[in-house]
Amino acid sequence: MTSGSIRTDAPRTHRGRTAGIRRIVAASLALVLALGAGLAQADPHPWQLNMTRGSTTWSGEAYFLNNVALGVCVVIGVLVFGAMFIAMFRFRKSRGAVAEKWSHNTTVEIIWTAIPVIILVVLAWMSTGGLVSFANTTGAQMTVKVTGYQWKWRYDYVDYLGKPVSKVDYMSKLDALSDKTRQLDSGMDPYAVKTGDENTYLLNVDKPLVLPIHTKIRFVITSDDVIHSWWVPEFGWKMDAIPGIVNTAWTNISKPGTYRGQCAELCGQDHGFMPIVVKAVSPEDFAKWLAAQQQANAPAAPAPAASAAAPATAQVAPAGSGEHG
Amino acid sequence: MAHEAAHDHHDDHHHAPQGFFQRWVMSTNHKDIGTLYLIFSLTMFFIGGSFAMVIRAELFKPGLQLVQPYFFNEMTTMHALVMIFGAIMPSFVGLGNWMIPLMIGAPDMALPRMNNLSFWILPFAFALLLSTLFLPGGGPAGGWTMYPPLSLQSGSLAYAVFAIHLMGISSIMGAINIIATILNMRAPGMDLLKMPVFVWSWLITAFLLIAVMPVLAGAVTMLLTDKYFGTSFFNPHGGGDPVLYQHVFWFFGHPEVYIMILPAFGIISEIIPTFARKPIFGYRAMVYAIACIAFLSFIVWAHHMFAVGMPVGADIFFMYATMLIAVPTGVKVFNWVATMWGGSMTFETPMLFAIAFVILFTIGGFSGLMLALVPADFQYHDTYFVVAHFHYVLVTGAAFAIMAATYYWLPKWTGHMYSEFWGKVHFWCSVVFVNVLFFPQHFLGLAGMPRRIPDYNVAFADFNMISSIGGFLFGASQLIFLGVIVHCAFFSKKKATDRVWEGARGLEWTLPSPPPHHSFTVPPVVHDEELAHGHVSD
Amino acid sequence: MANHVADGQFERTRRHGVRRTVTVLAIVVGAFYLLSFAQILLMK
Repeated sequence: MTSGSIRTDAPRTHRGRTAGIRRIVAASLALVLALGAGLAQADPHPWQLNMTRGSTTWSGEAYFLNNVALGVCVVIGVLVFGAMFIAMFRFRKSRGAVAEKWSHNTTVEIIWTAIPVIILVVLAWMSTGGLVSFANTTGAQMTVKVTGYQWKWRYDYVDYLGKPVSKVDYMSKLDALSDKTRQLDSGMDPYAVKTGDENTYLLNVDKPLVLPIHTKIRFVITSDDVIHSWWVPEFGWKMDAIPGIVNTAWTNISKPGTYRGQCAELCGQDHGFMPIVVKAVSPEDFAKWLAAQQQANAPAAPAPAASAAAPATAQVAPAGSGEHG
Repeated sequence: MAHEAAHDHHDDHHHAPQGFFQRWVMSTNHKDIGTLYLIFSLTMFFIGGSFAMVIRAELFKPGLQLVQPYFFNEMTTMHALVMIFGAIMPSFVGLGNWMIPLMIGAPDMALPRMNNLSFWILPFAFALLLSTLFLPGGGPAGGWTMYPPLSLQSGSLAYAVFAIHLMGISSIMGAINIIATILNMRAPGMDLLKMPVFVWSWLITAFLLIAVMPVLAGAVTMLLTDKYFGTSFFNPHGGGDPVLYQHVFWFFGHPEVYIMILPAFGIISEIIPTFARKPIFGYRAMVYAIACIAFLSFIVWAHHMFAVGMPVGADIFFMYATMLIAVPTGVKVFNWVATMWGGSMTFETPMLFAIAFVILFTIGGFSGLMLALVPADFQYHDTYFVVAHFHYVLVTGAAFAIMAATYYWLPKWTGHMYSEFWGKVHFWCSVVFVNVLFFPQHFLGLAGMPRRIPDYNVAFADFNMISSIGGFLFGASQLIFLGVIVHCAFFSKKKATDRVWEGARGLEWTLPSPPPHHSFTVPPVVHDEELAHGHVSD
Repeated sequence: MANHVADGQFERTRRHGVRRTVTVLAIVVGAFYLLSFAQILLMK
């Protein structure tokens, strides 16, 4: 607020103040851009401040709602806390303030009850839309069954483009390097666990879930032991995997990439060590991958060679890649 | 703590019993039992805090350095159980015990012997619970919510369940006592709508306790029979439903959250008018808002379960009901601000904590509103965003209110002034470090860090380190609190006046500081102008 | 602070009130406990 201090003419303070305001606006814009720029990196990334925009047709709903609600809260907060600080400054005994006697005012009470109601109705209307679209799992072109175990995930490909898929199912668990590094007093550096130049400590698996993009995929999610929760932040939702119950959810991925998530419901000692990795590929690549998997699994003998066709993220796949269903 | 023994400025001859055992273990005196509750909860606050220090130390940087993951889970579970049932709830009961009879002009609680029992159950309950940490199989590690089937894997389930039963019985007896006291023991002229807001908030809280503690007892008993007696309430292999437990638990759990915040609302509604030297704005609106929040607490429980796959209609109902809570809560915040507006404010330590409460609790309320929006909650649920949210409402909400109340009434309890300087040091350290501790956790949650994990990807490293540093410093700051209390109780030379604070109104301030061991043995004549809300027309 | 003259009548009504309130609350709590545990027996 002092940028105008070298000027000596009358409008000094005014210009100084507007310049200050402009600078605040510019700074907040820069901050917003910085947040936006974060989208270019893989999430999560260091110093990430906001939710990811996500990479599916639906994930924007959660992101948008988050931003709107945050904005509403910031505005209300500025007004309420602003009024408080003005009161704390103006009505201090040390400044000679004398307490007034009034203790209610029906008009303002009605106003500050009504305005929040209006804001809430708008927010409720917006989130109902997102919720209803999320609940609609019809019209899926593909089904994947996800089963939680202590402490790994199992994926069964149930059907794809109307045709049942058989014998494509496998376990997916924490990669060997992360697992070795995460042991108590391992002496290993979590910063050294990398896939390419991305740190994937605790966010990598031996065999990722491979999914096609531009396909409405229906997940049926359940568990074999305790409750887990299947969560890939880029999809915009998490869904509990509950023994004895089959939950459904859907996604439609917009762009190819590797999306990482974690179990989000406390499930025992290794709850923090059962990540989820989704490798999203084009439908053509997916069809090829699926065919290779089916072929490899068709003979009775297990065929570890199949992992050669598996996506490149499984670099650290150890001997455990033979652990098919 | 209180030295009633040698006061010559009151003519009450009923002194405290001389023997230590007689006085403290056999006590039926609301002041002594209140003191016991407060000392107990302060002890639990430090024990629960030490668990938090273990958690923050392990999360200081990526990689496991200190504890095994299972022990980490024991720490998160015990931290929650100890802080909720051992620190926050008993401290409110202690404050209620001390202040409710003084505020309504009653000689004591309605049921003094039951009062003794409801306190003395607690040390045993917590000895039982904490002893599990030293058992071969370790303590409960399935989270304080004890979701089955995970909680059924714990070998110490029976200990935890029995401890919870004891705590529940203690709470219910305390609640019955408080209701009977408030409804029947008021001095003539102390109409319900002239009672201090703190008394109102406790009356409503006590009804919540009575309604939900049996539900918790039922839920944990079903866990017990599932584990040891072959039932299948929650066991899918026997036709049970794990989600049923969550519904029953949160039917208790959500009112429980308000049990921990409504008395805090009451405390803040006492302190702000005192230091603003202006009556509370909208007294009736404040009381109705508390009642309204208490009612709503019964119909919002499933907002803790948006990720279990409920029907979309249920999601919508619980979302709308949850959002409604923002209205009465907003009214309360606006009324506190309006009480300050036009006042003549001074900023002693209780007022500082009260102001910090209003601001920081409101931040917790904002994140609560965000969490209510189901599509966004699909992302927030079970992340550090939730951790940040409930620590803003429970630490900077409930715990700050308890600290504010302690500073506010400590001179009344002990008859001596605490050190204003060290009180302010405690305040500023707490308010700065608590934000360093919890604010970055919002970012961690938004970036995708799940809660209850002992180790994390390096992307979360920076904010976790900041949070841990804030945690250590916040924990250390509480030692100042302990020091201020000990100094005030035993070493302070500065006598407190009867009224203590210039703007203080209410019956408790008409008594000497400290009050005689037995006060209001004869009901006082209530003069409306002595009360904070004596001339209620609004 | 002025005090009422000790008034036995007031004390008596107070005691009666406490007894009534506690009876009602005890019944309510007992019923809640019973309901919670009855469902255990019924659902088993």
